[in-house]
Amino acid sequence: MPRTVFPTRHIHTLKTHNGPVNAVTFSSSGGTYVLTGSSDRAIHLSRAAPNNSNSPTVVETTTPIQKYEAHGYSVLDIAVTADNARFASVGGDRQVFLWDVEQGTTTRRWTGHNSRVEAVQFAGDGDSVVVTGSADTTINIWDTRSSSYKPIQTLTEATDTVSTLHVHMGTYSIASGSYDGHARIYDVRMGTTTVDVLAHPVTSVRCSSDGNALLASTLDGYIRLLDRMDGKLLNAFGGEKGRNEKGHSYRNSELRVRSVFAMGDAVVLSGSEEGTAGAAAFAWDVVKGEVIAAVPVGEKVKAVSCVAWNEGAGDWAAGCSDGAVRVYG
Amino acid sequence: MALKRTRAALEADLQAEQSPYAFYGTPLPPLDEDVRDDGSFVPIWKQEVRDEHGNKRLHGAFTGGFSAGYFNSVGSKEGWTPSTFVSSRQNRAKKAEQKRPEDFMDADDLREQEESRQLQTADEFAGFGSTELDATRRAGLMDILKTGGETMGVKLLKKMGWREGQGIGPKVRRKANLDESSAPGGDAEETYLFAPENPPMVAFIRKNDRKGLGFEGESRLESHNALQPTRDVEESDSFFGGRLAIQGKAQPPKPKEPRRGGLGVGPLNDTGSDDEDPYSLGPQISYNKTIGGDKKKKKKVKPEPTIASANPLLNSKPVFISKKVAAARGAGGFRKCRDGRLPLDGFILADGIMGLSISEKKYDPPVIPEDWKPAKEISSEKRDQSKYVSTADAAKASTLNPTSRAALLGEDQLPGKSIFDYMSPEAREKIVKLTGNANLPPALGEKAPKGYELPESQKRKDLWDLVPKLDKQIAAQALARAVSGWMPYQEDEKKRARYQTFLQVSAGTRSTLPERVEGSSTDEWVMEMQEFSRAAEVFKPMSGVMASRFTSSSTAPKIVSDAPDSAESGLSRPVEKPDDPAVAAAKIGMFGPMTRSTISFYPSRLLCKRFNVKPPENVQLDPGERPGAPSTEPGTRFQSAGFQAETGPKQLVSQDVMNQLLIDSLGYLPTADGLDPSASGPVNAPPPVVVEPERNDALEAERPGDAVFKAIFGSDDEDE
Repeated sequence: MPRTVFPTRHIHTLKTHNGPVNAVTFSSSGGTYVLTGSSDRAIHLSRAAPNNSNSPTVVETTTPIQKYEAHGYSVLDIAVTADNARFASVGGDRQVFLWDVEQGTTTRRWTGHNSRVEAVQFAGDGDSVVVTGSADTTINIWDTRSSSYKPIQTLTEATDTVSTLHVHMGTYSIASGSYDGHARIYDVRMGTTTVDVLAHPVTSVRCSSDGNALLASTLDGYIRLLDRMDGKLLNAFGGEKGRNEKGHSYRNSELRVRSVFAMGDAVVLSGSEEGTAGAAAFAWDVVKGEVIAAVPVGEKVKAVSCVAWNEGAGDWAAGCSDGAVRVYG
Repeated sequence: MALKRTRAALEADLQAEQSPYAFYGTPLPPLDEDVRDDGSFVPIWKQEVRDEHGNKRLHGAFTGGFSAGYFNSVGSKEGWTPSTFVSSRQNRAKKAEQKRPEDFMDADDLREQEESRQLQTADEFAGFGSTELDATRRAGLMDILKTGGETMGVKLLKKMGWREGQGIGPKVRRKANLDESSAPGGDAEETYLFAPENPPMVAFIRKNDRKGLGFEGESRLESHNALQPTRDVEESDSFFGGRLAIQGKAQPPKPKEPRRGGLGVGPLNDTGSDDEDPYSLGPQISYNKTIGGDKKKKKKVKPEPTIASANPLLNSKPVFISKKVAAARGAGGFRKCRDGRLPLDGFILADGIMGLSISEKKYDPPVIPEDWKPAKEISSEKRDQSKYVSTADAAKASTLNPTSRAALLGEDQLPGKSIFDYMSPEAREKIVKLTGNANLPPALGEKAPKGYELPESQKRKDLWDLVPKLDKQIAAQALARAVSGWMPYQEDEKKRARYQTFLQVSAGTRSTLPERVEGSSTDEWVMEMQEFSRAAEVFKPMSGVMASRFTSSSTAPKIVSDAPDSAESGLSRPVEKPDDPAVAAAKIGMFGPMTRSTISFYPSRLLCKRFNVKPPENVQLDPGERPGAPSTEPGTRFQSAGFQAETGPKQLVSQDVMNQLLIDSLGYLPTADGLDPSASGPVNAPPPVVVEPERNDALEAERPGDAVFKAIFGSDDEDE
């Protein structure tokens, strides 16, 4: 049942990590669980909503259900398959780990990037492919079905770190954003690459669920909604319009801050860097471009680096630089 | 014996059956018929012991011993005993093979020999570092680099005709000086050219008596008699220590001369240690004991130059120098003053005296009476330190400004006015901010004096001058596109409106000044207008920057002729341009065709399979046969593909007949791409690429209406 008001009630805090949280992903179909990756080199699986969700106060959880520890460096991104059986994680150790959720062990480890890996996504039919973007400016596509240790393909168009990826299987395309200021969409079916110049390092790309629009966050403090057909700007979020009455304003000038669509692509949800009164998560109305919610996460938090929207339960999680993941619903 | 297998059988067995085990490491060399394996078994009696030279060493040494001594030690049958040397005219003895000592040495001897060979500096040149000659060297720096052989100076002199024993300089005409006794006041006889006398060496006579400077006393008489005015002092000349050694040989030593402390040891020189004998004598050779013999020798020596090293023979002879003498020379000798010069004639360095304990009392400073008080008192002690104020501090503490100082001094105010009087308070604030100096005079905001006021029209004109000049044509074109919604600053509507006004003004359709943001200064206004002007320039359609966004058709076939792989990289080049107008467009928020480009993407077949899609056209082609045709430039790509088909091998059957045959068999005409005709429609009719400079469909396309926009992104709830 879609909700009409953007949820801003803080219901759950996951204080399981010791370092800044870099990646938050809800489990597929339902989103009961949340996978969080942190600079403390661990990936934690926790329940997204607290057990007694009707509690008037914020529930705090300090121990995760499962810890996945194999990374030797910070975990930078996580992706979950649709069947929730496996997930992929990448980080500073230049490797791509494919995990078995139940066993808690890695089933595959791909080595092929020459620098830290910034983004990972599942792709293909039945999540048979893992796409990774790295600071070595390449995108590697790995096959989960064969035992080959080489990537299926390496995309080398980017001239700087590929910081973000999003696979939209509806249009058979892989969207990527790079610090070279370009958003590239590789259309596997058409055999074309659409390059959109954004002129500022791209920290997050997302395709709308119908595949007609691309949401791109850049380090000039704007989140732009581009028409995938012709590259025109449909709307821009942030900047002057990002300011609300409490003094929170959307900022993104140096950190990799992720943004996502929420509430059935009606809302743009994004993290933010620290403003005048601590960091906050922001939500904009896609059509009007107005801030509909600025949710402060705490005075001392430097940044909300990643957000995840859970369509199933209508709640969302924000990964904060203080190591906490806050769930709002 | 039937039970025992022969070794050959065993080996054959091993080779026959492949070993099931994996092996690790370097394999043995391949088996050879003649040669045994390195690691194969050899019975002890077949083994040979050889040394590093390949000689057999163990000749039954462990079984009896004779042959070991026989062969190993000498290497010849005769051993050390030399055979009788016989040589006749008919039968010349062969020159015995020259044996080197090394040939008879064993490893230990060789090693010892190696060790004994050390590279080191010859003694004469070991000027630094060696302590051997310390005693003599301490006398002066000049000794440090003294060499024994002929110095270069001597060699040069010899080349110039000088001979040892002569003085240096032009030849002198004088009488022959045959006999010493007749030397002074001889008759004027024949004169000859002689080498000059050696100039006497400057002597540094050690003065350790208390006579006046230059006073020689009876020693002067003595020296006159001896006809050697300087030589007698040289024994104590420590500066030229080497010379002492030479002369010491030629001269009779003066064993006891109570008035001079040079050679004998006086009580002052006594260091109190008993173990060294101050009168110890050197070897016989260094002392001359007969006086008569000396005379003759002296004659020979007499013309000898006083340059110490002139005669290398003399120098290298061993000469005994008693420890005491050497020590005395070192300690009390002529050392240089601190400025590097020698002390004045007749003086010695004070340090030398310090060592003599006797002088300490004599030169004590006068004793100051106990009740003596210096007449001069230090006045600064009485001054009160706390009240001291430096001039700079005093100046700082002063509250006077230039005006008040002028008033104090009775100066008249200058008639002119300050620039601040005309400044507005805001302008003053600006200067305060820029300079960080809050101490500026107040801004009075006065109007310009009468007669200097700018007329209103002039003011307006000045403002107009600030508006950047934009070509009317460009402005009109930009405006025309603005109408169709193709505008920068899509993020900021007000700014877009200002931009539009600016364009209108530039195009001449509007005569008022361009708008400015409320509350912004003139500078900001001008800056914004300049930005607008740049934006309009960038946006100038189909000329300059914009034209570079398109690849002309003439360059396209080149890419096609490349291999598909390289075509991919070649195509991506325009995007990577550093000075990309696309970036400029993106920076001013003008997203759309300017910032959008499309290049080919060649997904691998496996990727397509995993994505469960049919590979795109450019991938379906086998890259080995035909170059891929990216869908971006269908015209040129397909044209070139067709071109290649035409230049293929000349057909036996004409193309038309071939086509007819194919249509008959397949039902349709396969295209150059080998595709379904529906998929490759453009092949048959390649649309001519016409570049219209004034019109661009992509640019002029209508922006999708808000309804479309809402349909995509409006939430379901809004529809309800």
